[in-house]
Amino acid sequence: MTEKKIEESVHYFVRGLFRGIAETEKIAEQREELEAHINDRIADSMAQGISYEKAFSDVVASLGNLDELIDTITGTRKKIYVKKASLFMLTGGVIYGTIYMIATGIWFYFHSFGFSAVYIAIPGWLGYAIPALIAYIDYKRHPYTTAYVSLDFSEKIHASIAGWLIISIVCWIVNILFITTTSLLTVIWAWIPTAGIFTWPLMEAGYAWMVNHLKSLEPEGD
Amino acid sequence: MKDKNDTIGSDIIRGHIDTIVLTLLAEKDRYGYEVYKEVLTRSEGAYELKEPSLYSAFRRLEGQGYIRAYWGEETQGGRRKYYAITDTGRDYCAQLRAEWQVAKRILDTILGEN
Repeated sequence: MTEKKIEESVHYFVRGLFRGIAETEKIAEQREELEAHINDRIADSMAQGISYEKAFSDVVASLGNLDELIDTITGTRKKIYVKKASLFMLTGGVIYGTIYMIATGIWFYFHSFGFSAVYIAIPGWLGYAIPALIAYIDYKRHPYTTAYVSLDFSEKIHASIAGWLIISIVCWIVNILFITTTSLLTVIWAWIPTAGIFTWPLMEAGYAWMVNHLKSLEPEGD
Repeated sequence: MKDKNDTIGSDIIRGHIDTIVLTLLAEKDRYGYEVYKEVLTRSEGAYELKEPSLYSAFRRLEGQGYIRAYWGEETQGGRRKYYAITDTGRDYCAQLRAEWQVAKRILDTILGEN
């Protein structure tokens, strides 16, 4: 057993311990940390004359159950049908996107675009529809795929709201500052990115709500 | 190194993992395996603080702001994550140790060990 081979075995063993856990930065760091720990421990045991097999099986015995650790890292977790959840979230996106792109299309229609407004609205709408279609196909292929997801969405929701706010504020500032300088921009257009990017926090919040409250995402008998 | 946590007393010790970890970090910054090994050595092999419990304690204490983690700069092998106790961590550690002394004294008195 070379050192490299041992480290490789440890790597796959630790990967296996975290199988089915949604990947986050914290989880990746914990894996890396445990890997270093186990490598140290095996090297130490072998230096004391313990065989590699014995050293490894001692480690396996110690690391039996990681539920407590993973729960501590992720907050509380829940097992859900992930493909179904994605499909629901993106379907919600299509509903919002349809209303949004109709409004955008009407706005462009009345701002000297006429019927060529559809060339803006249709691609915009496809941006919502295609991911939803892909999610639908994926769901049909693997409807019962489950995974553990964290119930704590605050970080993601905060990030999405912050992102939305920053981009929107910048757009509004640019819109208002330059409203009279060029003839092309003599209109209020900043509502378009504001409403468009709002899709992001909306989807994050919708997903968080579904995972926490939607019974049909919960596998039975678990 | 087998089945140490099946020995009598391990359940009682389990309730004091935070005290153990904070005490060891109050002495100096250490990485995970160092803490693991130190517990084993100091207990003369009688108590093994298993990895899931140890790292749960790290994550918990980190979340509560009693310790903070930083990555070391090892050149060979993987990098290591070190832990340092914070000021609030020192206060909390002192409090936990004082509580243990009180509990120990009371138990000793009740059980007639003195």
